[in-house]
Amino acid sequence: MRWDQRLFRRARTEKRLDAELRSHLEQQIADYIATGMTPEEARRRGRLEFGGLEQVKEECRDVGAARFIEALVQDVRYGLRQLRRNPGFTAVAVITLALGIGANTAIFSAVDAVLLRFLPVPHPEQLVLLRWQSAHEATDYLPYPMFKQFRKRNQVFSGVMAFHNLDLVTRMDREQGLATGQLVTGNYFSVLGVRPMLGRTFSSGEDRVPGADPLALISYRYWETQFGHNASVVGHSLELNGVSFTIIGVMPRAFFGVSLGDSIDVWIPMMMQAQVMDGKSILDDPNSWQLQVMARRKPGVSEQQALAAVNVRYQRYAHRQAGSRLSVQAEHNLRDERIVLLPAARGLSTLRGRLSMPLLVLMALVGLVLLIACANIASLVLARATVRQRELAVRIALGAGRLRVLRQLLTESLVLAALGGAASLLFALWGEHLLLALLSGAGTPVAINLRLDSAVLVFAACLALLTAILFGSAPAWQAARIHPGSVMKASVRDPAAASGAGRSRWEPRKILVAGEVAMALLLVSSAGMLVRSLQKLKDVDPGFDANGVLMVSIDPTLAGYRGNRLMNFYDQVTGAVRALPGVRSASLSALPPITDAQWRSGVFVEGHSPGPNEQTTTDLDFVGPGYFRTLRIPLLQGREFTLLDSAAAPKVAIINEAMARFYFGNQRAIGKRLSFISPEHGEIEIVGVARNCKYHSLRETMPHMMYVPYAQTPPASLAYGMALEIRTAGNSDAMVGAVRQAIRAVDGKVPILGFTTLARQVRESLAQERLVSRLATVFALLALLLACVGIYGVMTYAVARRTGEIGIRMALGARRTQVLGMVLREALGLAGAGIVIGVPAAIVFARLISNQLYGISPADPLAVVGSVALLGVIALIASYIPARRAARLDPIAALRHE
Amino acid sequence: MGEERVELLKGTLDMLILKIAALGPIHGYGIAQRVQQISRDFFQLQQGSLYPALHRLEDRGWLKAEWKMTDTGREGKFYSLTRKGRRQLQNEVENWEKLTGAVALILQTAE
Repeated sequence: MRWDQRLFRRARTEKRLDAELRSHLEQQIADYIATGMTPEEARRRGRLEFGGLEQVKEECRDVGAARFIEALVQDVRYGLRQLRRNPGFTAVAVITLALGIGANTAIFSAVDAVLLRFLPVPHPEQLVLLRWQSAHEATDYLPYPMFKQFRKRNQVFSGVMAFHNLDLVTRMDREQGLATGQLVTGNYFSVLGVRPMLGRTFSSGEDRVPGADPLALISYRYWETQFGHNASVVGHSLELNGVSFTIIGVMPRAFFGVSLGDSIDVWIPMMMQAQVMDGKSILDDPNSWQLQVMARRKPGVSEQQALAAVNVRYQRYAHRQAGSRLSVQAEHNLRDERIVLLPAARGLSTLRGRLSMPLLVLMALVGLVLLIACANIASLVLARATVRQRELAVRIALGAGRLRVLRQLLTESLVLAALGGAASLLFALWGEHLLLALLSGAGTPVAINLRLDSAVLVFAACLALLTAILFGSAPAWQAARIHPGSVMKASVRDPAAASGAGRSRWEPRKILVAGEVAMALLLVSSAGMLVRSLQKLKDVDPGFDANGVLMVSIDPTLAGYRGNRLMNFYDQVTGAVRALPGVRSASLSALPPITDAQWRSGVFVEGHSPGPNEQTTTDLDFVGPGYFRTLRIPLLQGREFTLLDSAAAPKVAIINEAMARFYFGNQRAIGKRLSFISPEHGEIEIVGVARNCKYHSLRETMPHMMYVPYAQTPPASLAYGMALEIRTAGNSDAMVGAVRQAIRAVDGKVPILGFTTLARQVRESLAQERLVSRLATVFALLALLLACVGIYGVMTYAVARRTGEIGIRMALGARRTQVLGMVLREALGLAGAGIVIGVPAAIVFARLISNQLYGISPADPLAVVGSVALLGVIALIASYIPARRAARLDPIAALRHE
Repeated sequence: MGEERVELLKGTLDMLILKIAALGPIHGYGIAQRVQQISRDFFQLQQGSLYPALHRLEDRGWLKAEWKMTDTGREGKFYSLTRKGRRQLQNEVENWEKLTGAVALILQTAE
């Protein structure tokens, strides 16, 4: 029965009860009148005999089912009154809980958004991503002809669609801009099951003829930023990469595409691919592996069935592609190739792989903070329960059931937790904003949607309930052991003695505090290790001089530059920038240092025969003349690239130290020859050896690295634009305007994708480490504060209880310093017990998070010893005030106190 | 009347109510009247114990209640015995007879 129905039924029951009792009274009065009484007298007599109407009702009510709820309401009221009577305790407990639950909720909302939340589409669990796999390789990017094979009518999928992300240069009313685009097959939206907010999506007819349907759908965000919520946007035209498109619809706000973390601005039909990608169609090319393919499983079709069906199709397709005459080896290889289905219910994401471990670490740490908070509140509640033992004993003596008293105490804890949980939502909201800002860093914005949705609210409510059970069970357990007689007989001041709680050396509060110390130690040492790792990473020498280098990302291919024109454009731009006053040198590279992207290729080195399991691939970069001078990467042997290393000149390369040592040992590398796996590039002569430098991240071990002049590379390698590196004499940021003008002067249509400095780029590569270590530090400080409060509370109480004993000791000649030492020793004993548990726990935890650490061992002595010392000091500080109070006791007053 | 009042033995009230209700649907006032009449004014049921008892018996499923018109033309709550209640009444009567028989035996034999 729902609560409102129950309430309704209660009101009716109440009315009926009233009617029944009144009818009794009225019949009685009628009978009295019949015996000859006056109506007044009859009424008076009737009422008198009936007794208290309300009392009778109350007794009848007790019988009903409403009894339980009423008792609960009573308990809650009583609990609230108790909390109101102790505003200090209530405030401390509620704020502690609000902070603890709020921090957990904020971190959880990020975990939810990145790791748990499903795509906002119907039945997301049916979605799968197709991955191609052979014995050695795997890819999520498939050619269009293969996709067509899977799309054909089939028994296992209700739909199969494909998509491809690309950068778009937009032009609208002469205004040029950039947008993230996605080429999608006509059934993309219908397979996902999402509807547009405005207009319509593509029809299947608009997915047949290449180049026939220049239609576009835009995202809510793009609609908001570019069209200001203009409802008449449908039908508007928009130029994308030089082709005029017509907007046919706007997608709803919640739909960001199928990849978490990057948000699509514009969707266009796959058949427009050649038009927006320099006229070269990939749709008929079985060697162009560029499309991601997603399918929706039919309801009731198992994963095995789908997998079997899709692989039958794949084998048929692969055999047709290979032709009729297959060698035995090729036949064998083909048997290893297959399609696997990856669950795509939560969308695709590179963000997830990157953020999941740090988020889980933070979740664990923040969970510990909440545990410490609970231990503190449990300790407070226990202290209060000891004081309240007389009250509870009186209630039990007066006939309250033990169970009822227990329920009362648990209800109070629940009320407290509910207040804390409600207040925590404010902290959580604030924390989420902070977290999102920190996650995004200054670099790429993270398009994840943090919000207090139902999952997050349920999480917060469960946490509140859990905390109530954690901190409420100890006092309830203690209350259950109350013997009313002995409590009432015991002295007013020391009721704890009655329950036996004071007799044992390890009363529950001390155990709680030792536990707090252990957990705080774990937090402090983890934070210490994360901070030390960050410091080590910052100290890493990247191999280049990052200071004073401005970086500009440009992509002339988006403005139609190809082949020789492209190379000329790069030469011109470098020349124009070099001529600017304040520029020391400038160069170009396909990949700027410390980025996610990478080029790799297998190489054959002259005179070197690779071992059976040897890695023959190397990292590559295509760079301009003067690259090493601009980044100040020292050349150990040979020379730098110059303008003379043109397309027509002999092919040359510079390799790094790691590669030179691997292939040539101590021999001279200059003059040696190598070639790429694909033979068309020809032989390459090594003309220089550069010092090692970091390529992807500061964490990596030095990779094998090979540099090739961009003038000598196939233009396809430069299809994503290049980064211009400019070493400036003064402040790099001040040069942005001049550089922009210089590039515009060469060609205003070439989009400038962004400015940054190399130093910033390196710093931002550590944004995540910085975030995690900062949050861990905040949590560690919170834990220290809570542990400090906990120790202080327990020691103050201990001193108060031993006032008489201390008085006797002093009367017998104990010196003040001895008393001080006695109290401090007890506190250190507590902390020591916590440390003994905490140190191994901290080391085990550090092992678990070792992939987040850098340059230190999981038992990093500095972090471990440092945190032990810190907690010792905290224990001394926290117990100093009670210790001093004990030492200043006047023995006579203390004895009288007894 | 007051000084002669005899406290009902614990549990006896339930049995008397069940017995009266076994005769047919009857409201609370009627039960009180019947008990008083049949016992020749020996038992006087107080509302404070009658109604909680009625509700308790209903709660246990021994009595069922329905709303009907009373003789005076008002709506009243009429109680009647359920099958479970009939069995309960039988048990209680048996126990009562055993008890009173045993007590009587002791009183007679010890004389």
